[in-house]
Amino acid sequence: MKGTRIAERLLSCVTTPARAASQVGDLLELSRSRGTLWFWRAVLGNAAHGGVRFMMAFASAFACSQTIAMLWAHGILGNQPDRNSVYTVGLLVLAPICAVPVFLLLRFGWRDDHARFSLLFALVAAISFLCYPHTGFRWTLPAAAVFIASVTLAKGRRRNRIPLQSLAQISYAVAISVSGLVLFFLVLLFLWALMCWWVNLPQAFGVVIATLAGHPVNDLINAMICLVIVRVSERMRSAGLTRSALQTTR
Amino acid sequence: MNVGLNLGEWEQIVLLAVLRCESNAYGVPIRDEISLCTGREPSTGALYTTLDRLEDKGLLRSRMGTPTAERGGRARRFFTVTAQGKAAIVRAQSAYRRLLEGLDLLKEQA
Repeated sequence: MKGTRIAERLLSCVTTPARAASQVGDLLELSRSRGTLWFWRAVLGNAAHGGVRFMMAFASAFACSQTIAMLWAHGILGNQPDRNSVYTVGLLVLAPICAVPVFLLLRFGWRDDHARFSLLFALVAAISFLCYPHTGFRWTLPAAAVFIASVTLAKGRRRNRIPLQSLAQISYAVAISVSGLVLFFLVLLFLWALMCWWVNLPQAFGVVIATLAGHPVNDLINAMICLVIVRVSERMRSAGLTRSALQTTR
Repeated sequence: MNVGLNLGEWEQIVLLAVLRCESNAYGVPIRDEISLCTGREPSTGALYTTLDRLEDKGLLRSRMGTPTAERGGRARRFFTVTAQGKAAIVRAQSAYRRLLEGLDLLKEQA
């Protein structure tokens, strides 16, 4: 049957690649007596079923991230209130470390290693981040938390994984989120330039900047950061699951 | 925590079907077993979501088999019920049995 790779990629969006591959294999077996139409209907049905939990978890993580952004904007988290530029470095660190455990706990449940680890990490990092006014403490304590959590992840079932690998994965996740944000701003910059050239009005700059400072765009940026973070978290988790499944098979 | 009381009817059906399939418990036979025993054809989406959820809860364990050509080079995912899963199903079924005791509903059906 043609297009099974597409089906696999579609299902990979809502489950791990290994699980998606086995599901497509099962559907291929079943579709021999039912036909191609049944196969695609089943693939879409599976994607919808798997997607519901993802969407619920994502919506909750986004709400958590938005709440933190709102508290930050009003200076309730011990910071200086700054309503004009909500996206300071502090918030960009704090919002993801609180939103990710919410997402993972709802998506995979309390028994999941990654969910527990991210919750532990978020607790340590958020407390240290909010409690210590000194800049040095702000950055060294979360860094120490990352290292401790990485060592914890390397123990137990994943004995062959060295702490540096876990650390590298987390750094990779942060790098992806930051680069996603930079890319988003570059696209916006390009659109501004295009609009000003096309409209040929200097006022256009003012209008666009005023719009960007407003809440809807901030929400959009927040949603994008959240989405990038959760996708990276899912990929990290699925990579771990695939590795452990392969080990079990061997 | 009493895990057995948290099992829904559908979860119990899936766990029992996995037990009945023994060493050949992957998606297709599990679905066939449910169809055969309950008379209803479950949607594959509901089945896989439940299998994933039960695995996440620690009631099931899965391992990947060897890839086969008939499945486009994809491996089967075989499930086994964990000791925790067996305990959960026994607790849930015991509750049903206690509720049925003295009612003789099963004898009337026969």
